[in-house]
Amino acid sequence: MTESAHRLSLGERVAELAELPHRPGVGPSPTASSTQAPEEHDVVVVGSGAAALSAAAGALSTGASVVVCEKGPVPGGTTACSGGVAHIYANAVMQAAGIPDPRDPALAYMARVSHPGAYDPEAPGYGLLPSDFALLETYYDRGAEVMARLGAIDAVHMDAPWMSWDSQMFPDYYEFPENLAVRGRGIQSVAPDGGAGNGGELVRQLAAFAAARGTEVRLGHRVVDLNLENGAVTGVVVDDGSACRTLRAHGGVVFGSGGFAHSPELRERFLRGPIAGGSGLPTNTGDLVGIGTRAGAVFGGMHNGWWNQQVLEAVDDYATSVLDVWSVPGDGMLMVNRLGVRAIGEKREYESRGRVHHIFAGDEYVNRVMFMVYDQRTAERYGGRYPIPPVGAVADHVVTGTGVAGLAEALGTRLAGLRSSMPVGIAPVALDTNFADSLASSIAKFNDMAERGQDDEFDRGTKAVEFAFHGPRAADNSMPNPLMYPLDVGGPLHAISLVGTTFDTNSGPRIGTEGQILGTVGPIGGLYGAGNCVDSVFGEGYPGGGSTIGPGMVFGFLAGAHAGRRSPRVGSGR
Amino acid sequence: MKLAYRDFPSTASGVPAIVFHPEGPPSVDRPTHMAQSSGAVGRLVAPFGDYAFYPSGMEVGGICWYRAVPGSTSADPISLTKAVVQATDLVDDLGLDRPALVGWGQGAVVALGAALLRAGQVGSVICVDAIPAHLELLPPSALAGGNPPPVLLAATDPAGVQTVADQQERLGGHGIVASVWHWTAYDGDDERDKAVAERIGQWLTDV
Repeated sequence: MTESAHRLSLGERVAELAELPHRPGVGPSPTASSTQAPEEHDVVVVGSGAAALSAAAGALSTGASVVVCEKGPVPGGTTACSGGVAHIYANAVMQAAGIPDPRDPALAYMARVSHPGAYDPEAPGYGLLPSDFALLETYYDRGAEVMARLGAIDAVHMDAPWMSWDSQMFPDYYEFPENLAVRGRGIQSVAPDGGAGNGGELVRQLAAFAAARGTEVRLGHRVVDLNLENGAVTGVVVDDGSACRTLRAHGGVVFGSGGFAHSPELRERFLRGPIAGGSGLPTNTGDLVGIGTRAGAVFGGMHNGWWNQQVLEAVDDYATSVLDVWSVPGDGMLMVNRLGVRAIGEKREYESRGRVHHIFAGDEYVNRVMFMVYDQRTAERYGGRYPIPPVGAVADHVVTGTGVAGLAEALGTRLAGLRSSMPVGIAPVALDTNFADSLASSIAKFNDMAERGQDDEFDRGTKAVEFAFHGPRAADNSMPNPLMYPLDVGGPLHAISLVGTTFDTNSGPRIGTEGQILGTVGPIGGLYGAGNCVDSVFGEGYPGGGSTIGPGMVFGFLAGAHAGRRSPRVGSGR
Repeated sequence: MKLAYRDFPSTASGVPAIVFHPEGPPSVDRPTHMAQSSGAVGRLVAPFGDYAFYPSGMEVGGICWYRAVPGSTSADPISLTKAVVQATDLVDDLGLDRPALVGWGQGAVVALGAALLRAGQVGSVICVDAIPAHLELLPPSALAGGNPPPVLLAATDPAGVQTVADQQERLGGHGIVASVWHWTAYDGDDERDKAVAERIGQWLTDV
């Protein structure tokens, strides 16, 4: 395609119009003239989500001075777009509710979810690399302690249980035998009204704590490099949109800066399978990958992310949606691939649904686009629950046809039209020639299973988490399995195309048990990381809601405190 | 992704209108009703913004136009600009004859942004209960003005007189002249909606 023929994407138009610093395609600012001495801080924190602001709280708790550099135009990172849940083992809410969460089975659960390829219940450390297992041990041992510490210093009170619509604590995502505490590990901040706070509230509280102690959150400030002396980090170079300046960090620099979900280049280089960006902030472009490489960091798990799904037409790196397909609404609904075949229990949580797109079978990524198919009853009963549009709405992302044949024809036409505008990283997809027959067969089988209440293929409707995400049984659904209802194929059928995405990647430099970023011979002095910019404590797994924010807060706080104590100025009466 | 929308055929003679809902529950019923009650709107199109968690928790189904920053009057200009671009695309796609853009809350900011960027295609714009500081987050090229359509800034909160004055001053700083109106009766939601509908009708008739 020629340059002139290129039609700007929505994100490209947004970037051009918003004219913000650090948008794609804009190079770094010039280096400021060095007539002034660098600013002096004990700890520089990079990013302003839960990991970063917990790091600031940790550093502040030691008496250190802290500055926060946020690349984006608003504070909060991806946390601010989230539910604000932290997945914490043996937490105070569980203790108060009398829910036991013993150490060994909890570690076994974490190990099995995080490293399923290596997990061995009989082996020392459950078969994990010792350094990986040590991080899980630290997470179990210190998670509740850090939450208590954050409360004790009035940074944030993580004392609200994450509740489901049925007034039960939200369940974990896997019910393995090792999981003795399926409910209770998800906790949220206590909002001013006494209820549970979401991610925006979590950020508000942590930011208010930092601000009250003189910590400035500098928006539009992108950290572009590190200053090193004798192999240890002594400061950062930050681009404020007009010039690059040096900030000196006497204790250390803590990165909580997000992953690389919105760097098409890094996605292509590191992720396995077709991943079409993510629903996190567009500023998550993997700054620590280059910075960490130059500092000599050792990387791990670069293929990992927190997986989910998004509507194909909604994917755009600089025009992200506020919400991913967090839960899939509908009982008379199934999901098929381009062959017309189901590949997943559709009511599973976002992580499992996201992972199904990565399967390589039949010499192709056969699930790279999945089609959510539902009938008119489901459209009317679940209209308004994303991605099903409100009843009566004209919605471009929904393809409709009469009966299976009509839907297949309409869907084929839509996919042909999208051929030249697929998201970066997703190959064009066409329906198999037998798609219509196969879809008809899949629906007939689904309908029969719905009548019997038993999903013989994927056990839909057998896990607590499916019910938690689905919500109450539909009033007109008297089928044995409330998560299944036969589709009426005689009327209109609808389809929404879904692609595999990520909240954000969770891969980067490896960290030690105090959040120190590791080099080839041990921790790099003065360099720390937590959250989605570093190699996840949970490896390739997602044990339960809050698995993103929980480790970010715990290792962020530990890292900030370690960096604060490392400053020779802290406690010296400066 | 293109905005989903509901399309209401004309129930009365009047100008075509595109109505932008406030943030909150996933419904366009109330703003649509207010616009239709004005008696000055013909065909009405009501787009839906982005889906989000409800502000106070994790129940999915709330709708918004952009990300607000909790605990402050700020908002994310990237997501706001995205909504404005989607709104301009809707204006282009619908091809209505100089429609009025009418918005509430976040929808008011988006309506104003789209109207400023499509000044030649839009007949007028009415912004009800926009957060004043959010107006400053519109794309610079939108605020650069040019020849904006008639703008009415309206507020229904008890501090409405200050709210519209603040909005007017902020837009005036960019050379954008706007009329203002604020509700003063404060005697219930129904009365408020009725008063807003009347003002919309009067404004659309006048311009």
